[in-house]
Amino acid sequence: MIIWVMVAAVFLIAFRQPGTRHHQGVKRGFDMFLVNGPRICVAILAAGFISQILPEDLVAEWLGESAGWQGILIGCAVGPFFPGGPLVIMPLVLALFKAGAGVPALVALLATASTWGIHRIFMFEIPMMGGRFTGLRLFSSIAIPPLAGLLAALLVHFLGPPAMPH
Amino acid sequence: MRRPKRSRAAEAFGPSFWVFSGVAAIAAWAAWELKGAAAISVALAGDLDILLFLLPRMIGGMLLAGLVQAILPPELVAKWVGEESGFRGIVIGAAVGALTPGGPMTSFPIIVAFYMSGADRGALVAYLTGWSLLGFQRTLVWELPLMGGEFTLYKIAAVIALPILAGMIARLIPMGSVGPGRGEEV
Repeated sequence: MIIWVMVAAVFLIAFRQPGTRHHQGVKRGFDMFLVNGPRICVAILAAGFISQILPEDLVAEWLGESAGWQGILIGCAVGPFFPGGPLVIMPLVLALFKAGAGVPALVALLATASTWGIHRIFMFEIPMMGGRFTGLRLFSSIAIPPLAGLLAALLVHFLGPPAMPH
Repeated sequence: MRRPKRSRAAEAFGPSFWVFSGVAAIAAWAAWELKGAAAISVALAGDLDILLFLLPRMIGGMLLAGLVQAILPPELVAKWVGEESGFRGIVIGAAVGALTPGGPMTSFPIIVAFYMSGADRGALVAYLTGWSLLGFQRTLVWELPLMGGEFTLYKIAAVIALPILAGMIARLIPMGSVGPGRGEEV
């Protein structure tokens, strides 16, 4: 687990800085864990049951590697309506991946969920940056999700599909 | 900040906990109806597997995110993009966005600070896009452990240039003030 090597390295950097930054950092990390731990457990539970009821043949047909543009467009279309952050999205993306969804559709879905997620736009962006900036940003990133899906499709075409996770 | 600080327990068992519990219960009921009791035990065994695999990686990811936040003061971040402009400003905006840890509670105060310190709108758009598409914390805590290294690499390769593209498009669009209603030119 390379991540623990990185933790140790950043901890050392923080430790060498003046003050108690290393202490604050560790505390912040554990706080994050305490707050997110219960949600993660129920999210995994939900994703496990959902993956049991997902109609695999339909997922594979609509979002599979062979679905091509259609899979990418469906991914783009559903992304904005995934509420919440990665906590909600990732377990579902994993369930879809295991049910046969292709990488291009999933990358397109993740890209719209992050650039066009409506819940973040209404809760944070419009209140804090205003409607004009939000409109400018949305317009500027309109091409991102389909492009991301297309690039992912090219990668799969040339390198083969990525390994299924654990 | 949007709302006063709540206790950790209230936050941990807030709305999203109950929404997920509800979704889990409904999905469990549907799985039982559709596939019978065996589906439930298969799902639970898989969940336990994922959880055991995920836990050490996720704790590591969160510790890393907390530590990086502690050594990377927001003022410094604001200074980097605030002073740069041009294509370099967009690239820096996207990179700093990708390096900004935390959720919208962290990134939106930072982007407001960028705006105040005079960052150009291309850099602002690149920043938010970089944060949301490539945020290292999201990648470390969620994508890498759940989706595996190969999927994560494919996704990063597919999206890495796109925040810069969005920033360049934003700069091409003729528009006066874009800030939160202060009437200043950005």
